[in-house]
Formats: sequence, C-alpha cells, structure tokens
Amino acid sequence: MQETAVAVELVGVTKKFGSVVATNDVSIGIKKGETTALLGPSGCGKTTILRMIAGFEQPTSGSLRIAGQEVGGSRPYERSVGILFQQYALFPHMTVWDNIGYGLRRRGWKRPEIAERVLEMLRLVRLENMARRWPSELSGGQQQRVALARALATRPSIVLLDEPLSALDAQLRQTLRVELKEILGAVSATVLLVTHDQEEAMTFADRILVMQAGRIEQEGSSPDLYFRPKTRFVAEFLGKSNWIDGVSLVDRGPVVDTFRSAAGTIIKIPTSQAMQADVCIRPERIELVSANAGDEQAILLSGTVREAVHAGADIHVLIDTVEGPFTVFERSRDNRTILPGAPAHLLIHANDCMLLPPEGRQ
Amino acid sequence: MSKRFQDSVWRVLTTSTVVLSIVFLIAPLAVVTLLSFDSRTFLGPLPPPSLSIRWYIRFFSDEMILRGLRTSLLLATAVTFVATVACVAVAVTMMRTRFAGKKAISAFLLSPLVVPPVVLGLGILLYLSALGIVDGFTRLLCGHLIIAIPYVVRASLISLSGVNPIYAEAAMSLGATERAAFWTVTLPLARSGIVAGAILSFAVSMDDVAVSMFLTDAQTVTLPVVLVSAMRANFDLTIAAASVLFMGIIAILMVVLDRTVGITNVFKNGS
Repeated sequence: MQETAVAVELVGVTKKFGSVVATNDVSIGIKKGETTALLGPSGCGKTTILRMIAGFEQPTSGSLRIAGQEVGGSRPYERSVGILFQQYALFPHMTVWDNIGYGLRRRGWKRPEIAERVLEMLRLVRLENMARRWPSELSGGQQQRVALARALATRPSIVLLDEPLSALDAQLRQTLRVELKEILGAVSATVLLVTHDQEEAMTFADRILVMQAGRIEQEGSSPDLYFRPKTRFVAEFLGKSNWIDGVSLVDRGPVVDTFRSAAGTIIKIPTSQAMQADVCIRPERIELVSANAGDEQAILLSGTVREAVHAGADIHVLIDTVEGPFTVFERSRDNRTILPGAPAHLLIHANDCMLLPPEGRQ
Repeated sequence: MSKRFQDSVWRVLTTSTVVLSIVFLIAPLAVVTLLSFDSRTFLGPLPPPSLSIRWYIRFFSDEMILRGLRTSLLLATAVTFVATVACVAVAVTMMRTRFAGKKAISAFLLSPLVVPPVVLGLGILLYLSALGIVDGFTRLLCGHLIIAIPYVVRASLISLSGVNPIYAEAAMSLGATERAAFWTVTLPLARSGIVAGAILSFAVSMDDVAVSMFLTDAQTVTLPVVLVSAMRANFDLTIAAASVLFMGIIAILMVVLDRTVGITNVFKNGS
C-alpha cells in the first residue's frame, strides 16, 4: 500500500436494493485533508454512499478504495472510517471517557496510550472536565463534541458527518458549525459531509457534490454551483431561483442572441449555443425600478406585488408577472415600504440570466 | 364553576378507584401475614386469638419442606439460567436473520399463553414418558422451561429489538467485531429487560403447582407441591409462613438487584 493523496475513491459504484437502484455508476474522489459535501434530497442515494464507505452496505458493482486500498467486501471494523452520527449514538452506558476510548480499546491500543489519546481528544474538544460524566448529563452540543472526539480518536482516513447540523436551531447551528470546522481543521481531517441542507453544505464544504436519483448531478465549489449550475435541478436545489420557462431562439446575432418566451418576453443575451432553454435568475440579482428604465441588454418585466416579507437584512418580495411568480430580494431600508397590490417593475441584466437546458416541468 | 365541579368529581372517583384497587390487592397478603403468626394448630376464624412463630419454626424444621425448598431453588436457578441463555440466543437470531415464516414465529412467541397449566402438565408428563425420561428433576426442568420460556423470550425480544441498531453500527465503525459490538454495547443496553425476564422465570418456576404436580417423583418434590399437599392433608399453615418468607426475600432481592444491576439507572440512561 503506498501513500496517496486520495483518501477515498469510488469508481463506477452501483448499489441496488432488489430492483431499486440506490446509486447508479457513481464516481467520487476525495483528497486528503479536503472537506467534501454530498448534497441531495432524501432518497437521492447519499446515505447509501455513506453507508457503503462505512462498510454497512456493500456495492453491487464498482470499486471502493480507502487510503489506496480496495475495501469492497470488507467489514466496517476492517476499515479506517470515523462516523459522526446524526443522533450522535453515544453509548449511554459508558462515561464520556469510555466512549472516546472505545475505538482505541477495540483497535487493541495499550492502556497508557489509550489514556494519553483520550486526554488529547478531550482537550481537542474542550471537555477535559466532563470525562466522568454520562452522555445523558451533557447538552446536545457537548454530546456532539464527544461523538466527534470518539470518531477522531482512532485517526480514521476519513470522517463521515451525517447531517451534523440540520436538526438544530439557527443560533446553535452557527456556533456548532464554527466549532466543528475548527476541531476538524485542527487535526486536518478528511471529511465527507452528507446532507440534504444546501446551507449546511455551502457553508461547510470546500467542494460540493450535488446528487439526484442515484447520480452525481454536478460538482464544484459553492459559488460554482450557485452561479453556474449545469441543470435546472442544481439551480433549484441551491438557493432560491426565478424562471422564465421555455424560451426559444428567434434571432442569432454575432454578439447578441434574441430569445422569446411563450408569454412573449424578449430576452437579449450574449451569444450562446442554445436553441431552447429555461432562463434562471437569482432573486438578489433583480432590481426593482420605476417604469421607464429601458436598457438594450436587459429584460423589463412588470407585475403586481403579492406579498412583501421583511426578513431582517432583506425584504423578500413576491411579484406576479406574466412569467409567473418572481421572488426578489431587496435590501431593506428603514424608509422603504413595499405594499401588496402595488405595481412593480423588474429589471434583469443579461449577465444575470443563466440559460439552462429545458427539462420536463414538475 | 360546573366544569370545576366535574373535575373534582373525577378526581374523587379516580382516587377512590386507585385506593380500592390497592386495598383489594394488599388485603389477601395482609390476611396471609396475619395467619402465618396464628398460634392455633388449625385454620380458625380471624383474627387469631394469640400470635406465635410456630409455623416459621415448622418451616425450617420439617424435613419434607426443606427438601422441597432445596429442589425448588435448584430447579428455579437452572430454569432461569437455561431459559435466559436460550431466549437471548433466540432473540438475537430472530433479529439478525431473515427466513420464511419469521413473522409467524415471532407472533407465536409473543402471543399470550392460552394453554391451561393442568393440560400442559399432563401433556408434558405423557410426552416425556414416551421419550423415556422418568427422572423427576429432568422432568420438572423440562416442564418449567416450557412455562417459563414464553416470558423470557418475550422480554428478550422486546428489550433487544428495542436497542437502536445505530449503537452496534457505531461500535463496528470504531473497530468492534459484530460479536464484540453485541457483548459490549447491545447486550448491556438490553440488560434491564433481560434481567426482568430472568427474574420472572425464576418466580414462575418457584411458584408453579399445576404443572409440577404431574412431574414430581418420590424423591424430587418442589416446595409449592409440598406445601399444597401439607395444607390439604391437615390445614397446615406453614404455607402462610412460607408465603411471608418469600415476600420478604423477593423484596430484599429487588432492592439488591436495583443497587447492583441498577434497573432504574439503566432505564434512565436508556436505550
């Protein structure tokens, strides 16, 4: 076995449960020290991938390597994988100390080494004075840190995080995210985060793999996926999006293409290859303007405000237009009020239109 | 006002129901305790004119009773041990493996016991005779296992399947083999339920008369059978003394178990 920069590698991994295909020909490479998120809706196969890496499920076909070693068919205890379970799964009949030391005992460490390592882990998660406590005596955040210390104690090749933050409320979530990242960074762990929560993935990971229906739909950094989605699914799954559906090419110019939607909206954007497309616009890229602001390289849509919600930094305005409901995020200012029923004019710059291949509508 | 009135009526009704139920359950025990200290040599009307510990002395001096006690304790211990080990094994198998008819077997194991003990006793006697097993202790062991196992298997199945499999998975991801995960995590977490089943099987074995009557032989007689025959032969009140002794032993046993095995503690940290 040679030293390699790749911690975990899946090549063409397919998993079937009876006739149900959970993952279909999935290939993933996770570099050492990198934090990757596997993001997708429930039932997309992300949990199956986590369970296959952990060794709780075996791939139907394909190759799975951990630290350069083929592990297909090997049992969980023959691999070097740490898991932070969503419900933490701390052993309720063991103290914090014994929980953290459990993996070391099972891996056959000597007693003095175990004591030293457990103490080191307790210091890492800042729970030195909790060693003799029972898990039931700890707060949720403390339990998570013990679970993390337990997972990291045996120095696994990869740490799997199963939706570590999604069950928590917004305040606690941010504190724990920062803490979790610090601890994982301190030991330069290789991390795979599995989640259905786009915010969790975007704020946590260096790289995100978006999964749908057993396949990797797109991979990239958070801004990559947000501003350059390749499919409608990715655009809709990450952040809020507005759509002008089913536009078709009416004139291909040397610099500018002209498209027209079914409802008659004319869209002029820099030349593309597309004939048919759906146009996606992010809510924060839309300006609300007074009626007559015309611009050659922009779309002007008119509509009526249905609802305006003050959400702190932004006002979320829902506007009915000929292209359907549009959501616009306006910076909130003290002297600004937007009332339902008022007319609204939406200015969208050509640069902010993302052309995506049309898909069957839901 | 009338809503408040309704509430207080309900409160009075529930309280009195609870009190009456407790009295109903405790009263026989009180009577037995009183009778066990009766100084009369016959079964007379309550209350006894004077008290003595003659029945307790009798209990500890009667050869038959002491032999019965020894047989019963030995038998109950054996039954508890065999039934618990077997039932935990069955429960683990039921949880781990998939096979045809598993649901049916599970439903059968968990269904209420409907065969009357007398029928069971006669059946076991005939069956064991056909097999050529005539030794009293072996016969009793078989019989008691048959009546104890349903309790223990139920307790084991419910407590083991109540342990979230995620604990075993966590253990295995930390390097435990399946066997190690079972011994160090799953079994300790199911402990309270299994211990409860074991205690129940001990009690069932100590207590049984109907089945045992058919299976005893001249040398091997269980304590309840000895006591019942003694009582029927000459209105012997040793049975009352025995009952009181047993109640005391069981009360002490529960306290000790709670202190050592920590039943409530395990429940608190819970699976």
